[in-house]
Amino acid sequence: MALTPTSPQIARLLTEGTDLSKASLATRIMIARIRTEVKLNPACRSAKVDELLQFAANNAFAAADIAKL
Amino acid sequence: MKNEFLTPSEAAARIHAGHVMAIAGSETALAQLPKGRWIGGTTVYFMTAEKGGVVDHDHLFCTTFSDVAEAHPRHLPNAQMHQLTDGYLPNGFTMILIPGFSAALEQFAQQSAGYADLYAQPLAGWIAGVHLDDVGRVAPRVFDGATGQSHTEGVALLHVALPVGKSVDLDIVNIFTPQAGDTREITFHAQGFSASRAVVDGVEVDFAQFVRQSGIDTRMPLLADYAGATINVSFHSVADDHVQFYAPVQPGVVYRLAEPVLDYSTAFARQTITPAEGLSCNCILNFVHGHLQGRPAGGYVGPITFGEVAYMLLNQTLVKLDIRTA
Repeated sequence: MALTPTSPQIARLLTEGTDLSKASLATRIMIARIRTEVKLNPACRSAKVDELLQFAANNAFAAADIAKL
Repeated sequence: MKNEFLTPSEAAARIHAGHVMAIAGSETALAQLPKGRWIGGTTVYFMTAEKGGVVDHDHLFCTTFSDVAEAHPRHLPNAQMHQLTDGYLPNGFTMILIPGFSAALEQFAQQSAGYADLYAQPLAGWIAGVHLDDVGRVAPRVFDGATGQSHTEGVALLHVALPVGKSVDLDIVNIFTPQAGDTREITFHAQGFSASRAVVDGVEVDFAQFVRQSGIDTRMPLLADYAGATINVSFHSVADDHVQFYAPVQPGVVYRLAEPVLDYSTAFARQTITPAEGLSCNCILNFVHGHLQGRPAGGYVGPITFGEVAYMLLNQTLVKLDIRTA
């Protein structure tokens, strides 16, 4: 099923402490950066969710990583 | 993929034969190589299968990428560095080499996270260095095999496409873990290679004074948890009023102090499942602090470098890239 801004995986991805140890290094670094940016500036959450969805849409490995959550 | 410790003439023969290579060695040795499908960076420190860690000015550590569909070496000046992902090839990966102590390194470390499509394919590489006695006297260089030119600024890139059925796995090996007995959380106000202030467990401190008074062993890096990947920032120096790092600290990221590592060779061996046939590089700080000259690093071989890249600048980390049959 395609990810949307309201998919439960999105909320989990943006929550620090969610286990991403099985994800690729690219996904882990990307998610960590987005988490930090949202933490520093909560107003950018919507834009960052869009960026995350685009990342998953453009990269099959990222979509697979997120699907495992 | 094949790793070999070759003479310049042996490496030149590989290049003439059309092989695609990433090459590490002294400036003198690299300058002897012909044009071809390769990039190179300076270092005289290597981890070899036969002798463990060595210092060698005469040989070149050559990683040959076999079974490659396409490969494009190129050099990008600092002003065009943001275009590095434009060269990404389908089903491929990109090697990046950056001169140590350069403006290019600071630029990559501080800006690359915002480059479009940076994470779309594996980006691996390392920071070129020099003999430690030559730091400040001789500039590290990267070589673009397409032109045969060397550079003290910009980045050398090798964009590689693999045939159908092959894929790339990029990961890191980090022997450092957070101190079990010291759970203090350190954050910084701004991105930078240096910091004068920090917040430790919610209390604003003079960070240089904190490091000195706490007796922190600055041979061990600061550690950050990047969604399960431990990312190091190594201490460069502690001045009166600020602390210098080998990679930028980031605002909003929580850093912890690292557990001391007593035996680096054994620590790497513990994290090695099989000796790497792929490309790997390891940090000069691990080489020095771990006394790895003449000792192995868990089966891994490759150049010893002044920083590593796995999408971002890393310190005191082993980066490994493997090509697999999908």
